[in-house]
Amino acid sequence: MKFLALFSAMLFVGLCALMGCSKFLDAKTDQRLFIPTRVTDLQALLDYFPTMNKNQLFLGESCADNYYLTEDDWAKRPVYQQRQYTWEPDYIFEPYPNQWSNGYEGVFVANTVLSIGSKLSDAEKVKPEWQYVRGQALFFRARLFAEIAFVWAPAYDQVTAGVDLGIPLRLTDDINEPTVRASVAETYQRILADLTEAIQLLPEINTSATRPSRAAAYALTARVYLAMGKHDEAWKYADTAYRLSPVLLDYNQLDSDATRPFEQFNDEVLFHARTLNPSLLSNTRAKIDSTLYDSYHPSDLRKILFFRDNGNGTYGFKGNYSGTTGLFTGLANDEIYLMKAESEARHGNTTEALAVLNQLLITRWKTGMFIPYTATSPHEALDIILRERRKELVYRGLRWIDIKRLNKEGYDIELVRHLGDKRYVLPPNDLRYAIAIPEDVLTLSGIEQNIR
Amino acid sequence: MKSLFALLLSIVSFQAYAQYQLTGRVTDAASGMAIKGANISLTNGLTKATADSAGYFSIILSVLPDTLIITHVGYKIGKRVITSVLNPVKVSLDISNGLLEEVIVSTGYQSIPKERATGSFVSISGDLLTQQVQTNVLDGLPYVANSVSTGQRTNQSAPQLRVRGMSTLNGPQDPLIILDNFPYEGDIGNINPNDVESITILKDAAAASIWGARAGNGVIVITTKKAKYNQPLQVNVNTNLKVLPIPDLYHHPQITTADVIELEQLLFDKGYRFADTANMNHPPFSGVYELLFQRRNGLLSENALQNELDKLKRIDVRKEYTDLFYRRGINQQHSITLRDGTQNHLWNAAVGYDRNKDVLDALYQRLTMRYGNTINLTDRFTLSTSINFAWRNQKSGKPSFESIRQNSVGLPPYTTFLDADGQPIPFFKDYRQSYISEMSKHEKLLDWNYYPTDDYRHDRTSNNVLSTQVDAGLHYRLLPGFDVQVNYQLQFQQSDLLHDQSLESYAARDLINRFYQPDDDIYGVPVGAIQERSENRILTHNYRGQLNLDQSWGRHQVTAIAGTEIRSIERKSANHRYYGYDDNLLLTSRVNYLTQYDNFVNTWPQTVPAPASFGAGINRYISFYATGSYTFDRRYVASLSARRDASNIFGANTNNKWAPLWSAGLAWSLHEESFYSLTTLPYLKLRATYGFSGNIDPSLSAITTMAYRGTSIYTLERYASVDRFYNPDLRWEKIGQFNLGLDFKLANGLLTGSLEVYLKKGVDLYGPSPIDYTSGIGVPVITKNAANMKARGIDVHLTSINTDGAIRWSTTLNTSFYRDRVTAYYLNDIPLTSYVGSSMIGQVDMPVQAIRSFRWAGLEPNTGNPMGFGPDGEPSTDYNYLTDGASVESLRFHGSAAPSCHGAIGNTLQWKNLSFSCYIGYRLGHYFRRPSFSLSAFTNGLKGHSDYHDRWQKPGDEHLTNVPSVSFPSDARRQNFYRGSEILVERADNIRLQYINIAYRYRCAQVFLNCNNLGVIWMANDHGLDPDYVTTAIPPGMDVALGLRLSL
Repeated sequence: MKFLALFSAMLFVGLCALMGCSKFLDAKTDQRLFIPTRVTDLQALLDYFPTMNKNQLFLGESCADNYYLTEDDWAKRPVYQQRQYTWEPDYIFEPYPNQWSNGYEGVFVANTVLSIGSKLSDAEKVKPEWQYVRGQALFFRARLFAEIAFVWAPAYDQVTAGVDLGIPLRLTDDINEPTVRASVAETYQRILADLTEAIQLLPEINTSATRPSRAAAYALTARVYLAMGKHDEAWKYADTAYRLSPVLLDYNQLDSDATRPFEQFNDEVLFHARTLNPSLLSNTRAKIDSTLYDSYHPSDLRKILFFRDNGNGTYGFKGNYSGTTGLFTGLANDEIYLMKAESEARHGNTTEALAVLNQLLITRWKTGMFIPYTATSPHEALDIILRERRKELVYRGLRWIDIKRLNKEGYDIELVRHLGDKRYVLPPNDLRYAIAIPEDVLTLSGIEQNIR
Repeated sequence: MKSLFALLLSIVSFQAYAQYQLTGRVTDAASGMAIKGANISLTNGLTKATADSAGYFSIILSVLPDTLIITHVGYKIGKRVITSVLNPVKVSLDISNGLLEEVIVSTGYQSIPKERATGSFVSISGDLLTQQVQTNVLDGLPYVANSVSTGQRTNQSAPQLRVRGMSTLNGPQDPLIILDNFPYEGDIGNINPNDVESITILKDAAAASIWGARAGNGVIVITTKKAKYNQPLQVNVNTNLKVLPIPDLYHHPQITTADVIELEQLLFDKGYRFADTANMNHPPFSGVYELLFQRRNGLLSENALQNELDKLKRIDVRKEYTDLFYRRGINQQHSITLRDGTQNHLWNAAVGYDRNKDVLDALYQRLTMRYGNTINLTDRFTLSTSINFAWRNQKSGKPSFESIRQNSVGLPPYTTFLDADGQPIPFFKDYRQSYISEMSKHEKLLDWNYYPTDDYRHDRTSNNVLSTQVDAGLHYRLLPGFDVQVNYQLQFQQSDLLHDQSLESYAARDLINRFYQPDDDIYGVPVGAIQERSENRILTHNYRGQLNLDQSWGRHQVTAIAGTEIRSIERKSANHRYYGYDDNLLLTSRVNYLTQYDNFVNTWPQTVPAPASFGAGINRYISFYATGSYTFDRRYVASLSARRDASNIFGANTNNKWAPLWSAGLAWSLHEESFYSLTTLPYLKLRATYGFSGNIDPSLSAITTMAYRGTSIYTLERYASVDRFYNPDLRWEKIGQFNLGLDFKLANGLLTGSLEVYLKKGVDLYGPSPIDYTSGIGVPVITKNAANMKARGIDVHLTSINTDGAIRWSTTLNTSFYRDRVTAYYLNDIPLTSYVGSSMIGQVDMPVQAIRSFRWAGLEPNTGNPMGFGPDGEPSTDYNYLTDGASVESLRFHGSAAPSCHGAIGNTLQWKNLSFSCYIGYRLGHYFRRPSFSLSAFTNGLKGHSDYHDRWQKPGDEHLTNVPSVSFPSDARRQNFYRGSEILVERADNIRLQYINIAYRYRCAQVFLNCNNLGVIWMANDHGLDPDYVTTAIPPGMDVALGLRLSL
């Protein structure tokens, strides 16, 4: 009977479905989705440049003194930006999304890669690519922690670092893990530990400037040690980075009329990171500090390559190594030269220090116009180097941490903003150098605000 | 397949017959008067007869015995078994009031008489539904169906239907739609309303729990028209024409053009957007700004400026727009339905065609075809098949109001589109006037002007949807009262969206220009048309095996079904984009997608956009279900139903893939009791049910998943990002519901109705949980099982016959009272602004959609700044405290955004062949936030609420107005405080005349006139605001439809 055949077929199908339902139900609701299980998946996560390279922090410049706003332009900014500009102790960030979330998004990706990576199958783990991927993830995390610590934590102080409030060190991809603040000492220990391991895992050179290399890890370590005031270690790492990545651009080859004189991945770029176009710092709004502008010699090509004439006696910045209007906050070889020169000088090697500096500067000046620096003492050399450091690394997001660390040594850099008749002063070593954490983060996480 | 249909079509039953002539008379049972025109047919025989004016008839019988079936409008069906033709038969018919007749409700799994059901069903006939002339089958439902409501309209698309209010906070809110036994996954637009026999709404758990994990929001079962056994060929023709009015662009009160100009001058004086003059993107400025710049640069005298501004002040873009772009829309709807049934074979066929030309000239066409067969292969075996086909085509028309905007400006109210000679004027959409005129000298660039009145002809989209549904069912009567059935349904929907931007279109010219490389003289984007295609496919397989039991012995009756169901819904999509597309020769150009070109405008490097993307995914379900009811002595009914679902919800733990859901119910027909003696109330039934249904969001995941996003231009390798986060505790939402119902009917059927009380309890509801974004997941909120809620409500349904003489007047009333509250909320640390925002934040003991506001302390006398109450209880303008620091308790609670009472009252008057119906809908007891002037909204769109006229301008004004002063730059927190303050919260109660219908019937023909959306009759707020359309949506105006129905 046909019917019986049909009925048994129905039962059969039903039973099959029942037995095989675990398989039937394993189909993917969205085919593009997958659970990362291979090293290539993790590499793909780190290659997601919108998070990992593009949308980086710019607070190192927006809080600092390389630029100023006219009262008019300032008045037209949203209140949060106004407060940020005048170093208010609180409410300097809009609720999510803001610079805090930008910083920690990359940290989450790095943590996801590290966490999934630790659970990879043995077959995947033995692949050499896994070491490379792990090295990159550690580098990304360390770099972001450093960026965050440079603005939200107080300057490193050997004596009080153990009790000073550092930043939340999120080390897991579990979103339910509560956020807690580490001490400044723990913060820097973690950054250095991640970098030390990354250096061992990363290849000497990278395939793309959006991925970190060993040279970039050395340079970053030197930057961190410099920020901590540990100049011996800084010297060691800057020197190695200098050997690995010595290429410099010749500024004489560049077109100063161009709106973007520097290419995106030019030869000096070691690791590419950039900010979005920050509205406070847009080059139609932010005017370059006139003392800074005047400090460039007319034969110094940076004067025309870095700055654009607004036509009214003020200047905007156009010298981004990012090749876009976003600020370049990655790592470039010129910074390595300056770090090496500075640490040599602090070591007492006046000649060596200035030799490195002159090597750099000769490429920045019109051919034949540069007169190499000489100095009679390491101290004099250091002053020259720090002056040149500020001139070379404008808008690299480094000015804020430089002021912090130098003030710690007693350089007494006082920041002043003028708005109409009003004068806003940020005295050296003020508590506000550790800027306010967004208030909604405090509410949501329960962590404490920086000491005001 | 072909041969199968040929077989089905060729099956006609032939029977040799003898002839017997029978005579008889039909009379009214109550009065004994003859019933003229009664129809007489036979169960077995094919002949028919009609009673004459004295009630006599004569009919030929081919077999004996046979059963006479006597029908007449207004009477109950009469049946008489005929064993002999020797004596004339006398048949008397009882008057029927057409109400609470044997109503069959369909759950999608079974059809049961409503009298034997314990659950809560609402049944709407296709006739009632099509009183409102609609293209979409569900559009008219809220006005005629009990307990169905809609959410607030936020845009012009169809509002969301809700059955018995909210059952979820953040999960999917759509009720489940069942079309002929199976969930419908295609577009609801594929269904022609004229094909609908009835719609059943399953309201309570006992009714809906059979649908398990997706029934939490209620279930709407659509049953299409089918033939009935022994029903002679019936032909229904329906044709109608509907005229849609031009939308009222003046609906939302706006500041005048003069005010806009004045405000722009103020902004100009403050230097607003001056930085953009140096912006490398050359963003446009409004016409007024351009004039002011000219004045500032000395190119225009003060007098000339004032002249120009005066000219602009006289323009109102809403008038320009109405005149140029809008015109009356015309919808046509035609359908023909054929149904025929003999003893062993049923068939039905329908063809429908809709052609809508909307107010913006967009064209919508729909062709639907249905063909169905049911054949009794043997006396035990029934095969039913049907094939349904729908084709839809939608073509874009003119741009809608405000879709044309100047980038970073908006649509200035003094915009004109044609010059004095009727020639199009360019509109500066993306770039400044001066930049475009400068670039027009560049010979290699294409014309960079945008002409709104013309551009839509060259920038067109067309959507073509084909949908096919094939049903097959085998029904086998194993034993008397014991059946087995197998059903299979295939749904396939294919839609192809074409977006053509010809070389004449602005979009194509703009892209080509932006990729022009002056240094190398090459075009990064080839000069030619651009075509974008998106293809979507949905393929659904439904398989069901079911056992049906229907047994009665003595005073016992048992009805039960049990079955298993397997469903698979596969979705695929593809998007492509072609450059240099030639429609005639079918050619495309080659494009270099890898090279970074310098953007011609701002010189930023960028690659040619290369949209080629694919999507695919499958949702699968396996379910087991059983439901049964036991009736004792027709008085007591007990029902039980259980279901277990499993789905491939991605990343869920296997244990969580399965969700058991059940329900139970009792019904008691009091009127069947021996002690029952209320003759005035001949029908009285009590029902009580309790059970669970669920709600699932298949997009949620319990483990970290990632998705590849494309190929990195930097590494040339694929890159990916995290898509869904590790969230291991995610569970399905579960909704428990208790329902108590009372059905009654007065003697003579003058009043019938039902009263239902229900309690709903939702647990593990998804909620938006603000997350500490230090976790870095890139979103501020994530979904968690965050809340529990309770809701209670009363549904009243009454139908009365008020007069039953020459004029028959009947009234239908549907009223629902509804109140919900959050009973638990597991999330803390919610920023204060979220409580006054639009998101649903659970606050214990508050309604799910609570409207809360900041306390208002007036305007500051010296500045006109809005004030709230500071920490010391004194008026304060510390907006950081007011919008962030204050406690939740300091907020004022108004009520719910959902109406606590809603419904509709319909009246029908019938006089001879003329009938008149009128439906009035009401939504009461809820609140809304009215819009007001906001400077940031003004700077974002050059439009502002007319509250601007009442703003604080000088000290003293604070006694006259509550509209804050306008100050620049705008302070977001000040703005948030004002927008969330109590003075902007209003009662939303409103009553509106939904539709009227006038019909005249002559023999088999009916001519009707239907007017929809006649407008608001009453509303509680004093501002003249239609609370259902407070945001940007413009309420639909009255449409008028004229039509003809034929039943042959």
